[in-house]
Amino acid sequence: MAFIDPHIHMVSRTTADYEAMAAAGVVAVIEPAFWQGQPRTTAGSFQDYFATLVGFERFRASQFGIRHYCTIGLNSKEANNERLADEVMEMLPLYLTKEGVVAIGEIGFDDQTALEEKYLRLQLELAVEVDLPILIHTPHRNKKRGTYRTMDIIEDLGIAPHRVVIDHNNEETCKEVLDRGYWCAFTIYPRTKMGNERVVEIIRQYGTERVIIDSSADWGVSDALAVPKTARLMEQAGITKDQIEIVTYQNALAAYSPSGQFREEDWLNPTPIDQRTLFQGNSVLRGGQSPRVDEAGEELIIR
Amino acid sequence: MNSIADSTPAVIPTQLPKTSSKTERTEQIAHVLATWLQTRLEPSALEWLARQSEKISQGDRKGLFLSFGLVPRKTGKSDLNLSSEELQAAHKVRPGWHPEAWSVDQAARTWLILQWRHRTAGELLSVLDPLFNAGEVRELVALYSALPLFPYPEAHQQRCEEGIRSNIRSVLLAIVYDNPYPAENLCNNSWNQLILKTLFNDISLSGIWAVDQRNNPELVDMLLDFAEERQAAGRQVPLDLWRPMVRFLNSRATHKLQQLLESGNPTEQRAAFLTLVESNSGANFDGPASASQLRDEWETGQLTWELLVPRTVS
Repeated sequence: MAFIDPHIHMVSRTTADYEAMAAAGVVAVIEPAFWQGQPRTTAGSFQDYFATLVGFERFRASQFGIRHYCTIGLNSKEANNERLADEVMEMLPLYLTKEGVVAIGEIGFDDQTALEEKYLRLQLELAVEVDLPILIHTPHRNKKRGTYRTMDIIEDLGIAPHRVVIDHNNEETCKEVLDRGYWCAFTIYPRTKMGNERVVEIIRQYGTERVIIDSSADWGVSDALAVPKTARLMEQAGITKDQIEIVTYQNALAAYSPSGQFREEDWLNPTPIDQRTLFQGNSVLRGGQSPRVDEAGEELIIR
Repeated sequence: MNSIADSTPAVIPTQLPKTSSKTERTEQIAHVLATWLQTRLEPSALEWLARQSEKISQGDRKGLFLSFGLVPRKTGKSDLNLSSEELQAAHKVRPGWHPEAWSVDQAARTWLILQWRHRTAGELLSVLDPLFNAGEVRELVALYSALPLFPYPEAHQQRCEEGIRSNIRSVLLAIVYDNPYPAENLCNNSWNQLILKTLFNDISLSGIWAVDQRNNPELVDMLLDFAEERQAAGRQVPLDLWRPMVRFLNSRATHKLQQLLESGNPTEQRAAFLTLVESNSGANFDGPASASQLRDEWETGQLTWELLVPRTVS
């Protein structure tokens, strides 16, 4: 089975993660621009970070046969530094039109301050202008209110919900997000976000339409194999292969393909130039390995 | 020239804006690129390129940055697949230019940059620097491959050296392979770093333009040290590590090569033989039983560096 992890911060991960992900069947990843665990103090740090996302990290992934995409945006935490935020806003258009940039994101609320709202709105307008999908980060604190408020703002600007992925949902937010027509993503991330046993229950209850599974693995205690592990868990729970494929591959593809930058052919049948530049170590193209995840047991469960 | 953009079928300007400071060569290069695009792109893509060219030639920096990024969406990413006549035309306007592996988006990106007006190197770098600094992988490949096509060659040395430090393999290949810029412009130290970096990354030297022209005594010492380092680590020594020693053999190198010729495996013997024989070193070839066979192979063109260590594909 092939997987897409549509939210993972690979700059913080090791090559061992890349190897394990490739072996587990991950064929493509999307790396949203986010903060780096501590605030940046100069716009140059953002410039180099964005350049890494479209440059070296894309190459690093290619060595393991994984196709790397990204989203570009000013995250909510750093939106609170107004001077810096203005400088970052100015450089965004340059990166948003680059190859392999599939959305503006991850943007949204953290503390739900006025400055966060200001830059959320500006970036939503920018997404409309450059015609890109949107990836929304929902806050950890005061989550339900922050999630609803984000959707209110999106609708206030007249943006269609099918252009927007709302991420980091939980039992308390997902019904409203789905009812209002958005892509509803669940981050399988130990302790602070969603566990994979819980997500199995959610899928049983709400089905697979517009549901997306991701890892958001980053510099914190997290799991780069969260998507394939959750797929295995779903299989054990009797969820059909078709349904598993919808939430671990198809829906992510459908949500981000309106960018024109996210196509299945990219990894199944790349153009010669892509093959030369982005598939140095592609195991899919060079005979393939049989995908595997660690066998069942405690390893499989992410709480 | 740009007014042609409105006519049908779409034609893209094949000459640089008249006010631009340029060499005749740059103008010819732009013309050649335009000709290739003309015969390969859909009218809608050609019209789009013509519109961008108009903006860029009027000094619209943002227009250049945005259109440079958008090119593949408009042109697609097919290989150019140039005919032998077209390749000859390339070689004629710019000796050493080998766009065999170029794609349409790469050609269009290069063509767009050549539309930028400049009277000084600084004015050209004012757009090249931001493009390089923000480049994604394929953009960087296009930019570095185009280094030999830009005017003011002396102004791009540091950029080329920066690129050689890149760990992105396709970017490194864009600089070291089929690219006359490094051999023509780099100082010995940077050239030597290029050779070492190429070998270090398991890339064959066979695709490097004028690879045998820049040999120097210091490079020989660096390569010998590298060979010993690999041997000490129990790793293989790249076969073509010896190639840049041709004509610059010192006693240490000659001694090593003689050893290899006598006790190396068959491919190592061939590499040693080639280095010694091409250096007119007066080396003693009597040792190995196979020496006369190697000489036969060499004299009949069956033993060359390109055959012994073929070009790296990617």
